[in-house]
Amino acid sequence: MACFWLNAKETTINIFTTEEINNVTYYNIKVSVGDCNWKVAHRYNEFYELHNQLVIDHGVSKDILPSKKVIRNKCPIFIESRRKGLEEYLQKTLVFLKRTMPKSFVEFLEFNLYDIFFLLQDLSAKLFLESDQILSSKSTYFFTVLELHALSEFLKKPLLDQTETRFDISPVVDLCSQLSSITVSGDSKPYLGSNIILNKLQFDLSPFKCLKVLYLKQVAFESLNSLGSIRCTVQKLHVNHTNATTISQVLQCDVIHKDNIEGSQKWVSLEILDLNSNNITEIDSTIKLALKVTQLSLNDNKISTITNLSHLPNLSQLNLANNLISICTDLHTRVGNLKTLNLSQNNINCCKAFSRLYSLETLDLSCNKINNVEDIQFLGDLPCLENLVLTGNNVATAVDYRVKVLEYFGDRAKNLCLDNEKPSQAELDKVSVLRALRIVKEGKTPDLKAGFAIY
Amino acid sequence: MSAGPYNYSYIFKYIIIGDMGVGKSCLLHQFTEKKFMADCPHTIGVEFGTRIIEVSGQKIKLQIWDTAGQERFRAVTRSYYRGAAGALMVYDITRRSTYNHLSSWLTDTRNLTNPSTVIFLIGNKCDLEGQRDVTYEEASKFAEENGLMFVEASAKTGDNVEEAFLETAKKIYQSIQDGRLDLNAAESGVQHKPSQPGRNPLSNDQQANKDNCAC
Repeated sequence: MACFWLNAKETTINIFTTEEINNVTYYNIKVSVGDCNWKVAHRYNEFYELHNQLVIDHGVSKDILPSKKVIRNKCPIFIESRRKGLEEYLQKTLVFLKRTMPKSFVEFLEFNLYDIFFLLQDLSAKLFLESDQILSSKSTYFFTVLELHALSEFLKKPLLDQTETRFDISPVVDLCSQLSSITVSGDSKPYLGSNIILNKLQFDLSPFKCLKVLYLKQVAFESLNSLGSIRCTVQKLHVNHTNATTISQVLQCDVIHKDNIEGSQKWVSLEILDLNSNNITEIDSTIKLALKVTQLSLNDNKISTITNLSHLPNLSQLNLANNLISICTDLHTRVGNLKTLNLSQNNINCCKAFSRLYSLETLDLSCNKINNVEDIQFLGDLPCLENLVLTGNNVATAVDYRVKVLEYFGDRAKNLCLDNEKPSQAELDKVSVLRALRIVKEGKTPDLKAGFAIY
Repeated sequence: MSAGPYNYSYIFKYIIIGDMGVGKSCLLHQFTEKKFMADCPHTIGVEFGTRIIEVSGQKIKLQIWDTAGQERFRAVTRSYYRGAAGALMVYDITRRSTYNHLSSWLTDTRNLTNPSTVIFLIGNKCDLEGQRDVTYEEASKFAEENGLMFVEASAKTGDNVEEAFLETAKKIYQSIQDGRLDLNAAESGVQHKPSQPGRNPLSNDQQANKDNCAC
């Protein structure tokens, strides 16, 4: 990110090309501050307005702007000479105004978008007026990584003594210390018209003192230096579309030696952990740092086995949709307390693993590879199951599929919502008939498990 | 809009200064959270806290900058002095060295703040009477000679902490009433709450930036 006050000597302005859009000639300006540069396009009229402003307010000499021309202003030779003239104009003006950097000049060259100091100056002025409104609205506040980077750099090195333009950072820090919900978004592509890559900028979250909900979108965790008090305050953490491949990268993002899992790294208030749409390949043991989690979403990742979840005694909702899970065994030893389990869009072909998840109320197995209707018998004994989704499996295309599935639930069939649909009276009647037939055939109340063994 | 906790008419800027380990962060924590922070980490650069108080029926928001005491952060913390309406200068009554350094802190404060800044001297850790190294009389005399307000407080028990912050605010409020403090001066450290039309202390430049974003 740019910092003009530290790089005033390495700041250059060039107009490198011109282009015509809708019959208007735009001059492409490139501003370079140290290693950082960005592009801005302006037409002559905008130069003219800026110049008038600067002449009136800041004593820029009147005759340094190339003059207006009404006719024949499209001629290439003229445009080239004007390009040179405007380039010289900007360079002279920068030298003249480098101590004061008035707002109109800063905004013309878009320093306020890319420069630490001018960006914060703008943000501070905005938040001074709006922070009460933001706080009372209760909705999440959006920060870019750029703004947080600027803030943490500024707090480290305030720069105020070296400048004549001054501002008060308090409105920004004040708001940050009170916000309860924020969304931080990064990007791995260059930011707007600059060569700044947001995800290469270091930032930290220590100004946030009472944050309860945190959304991190497309951020790079290696750039997140410090979490401040967030481990103690955050109740809902949403991490989406990031480059994270392990849970450790998220929960231990500020820890250098990630092998040492210590008590001080615990996320003591965290109840909802949403890690959907990342590239996570395994549930590693760092998950135990989130010991109070009740809802865990890991959908749209690349997880192939369900591990380490026994560390989470309070877990009641687990979403593992759209992963690579094919075999799961003895889930009751790992996630025995689950009430809601979503395993849709995986490669599961057998239901035996679910047979002892006795707390389960909702089970979504849609779009898996369950082929045999006999497999459903393992779900028949789940006493609390009320919602079962099996659409998108081969089994759901079998003749009389609904009735056959419902039959395994015996008397509870009427309470079961299968594929988001309550059983109809006709289906329940059929279930009763099938059960009666079986009783006649076997001469006793059917024991479905035993029945399966005979097949 | 201006309902509940956002209802206040002034913003006062404070800074807390003093040697390392005298309890600056603990004082702030005690004041904002009403709790004692037992193992407080070293402050890196600056910390920040706010609380809304009431003085003579006026709600005032205190924006408090808590600076790092370590020498290596001096350059960083110095830039926060400017524009402070109140400065709380803290020493530790059980360590004479922190008291001896007060004159250098005072010089810094006087040089970097404006003349109307209220400086309040706090002798912290007064719960540790047995280990006392600086007498009340001595510090009291120092305060009087330099025209400072003075109290001994304890961030641990909370004694006098509230008082120190409130007395400072009262003094600042008084100077506003007397007209000694110019609200429109950029460095006064006092601002009117925004959204009061026509009384905005920000420069017109910054005003112009206000957009109609409702988010």
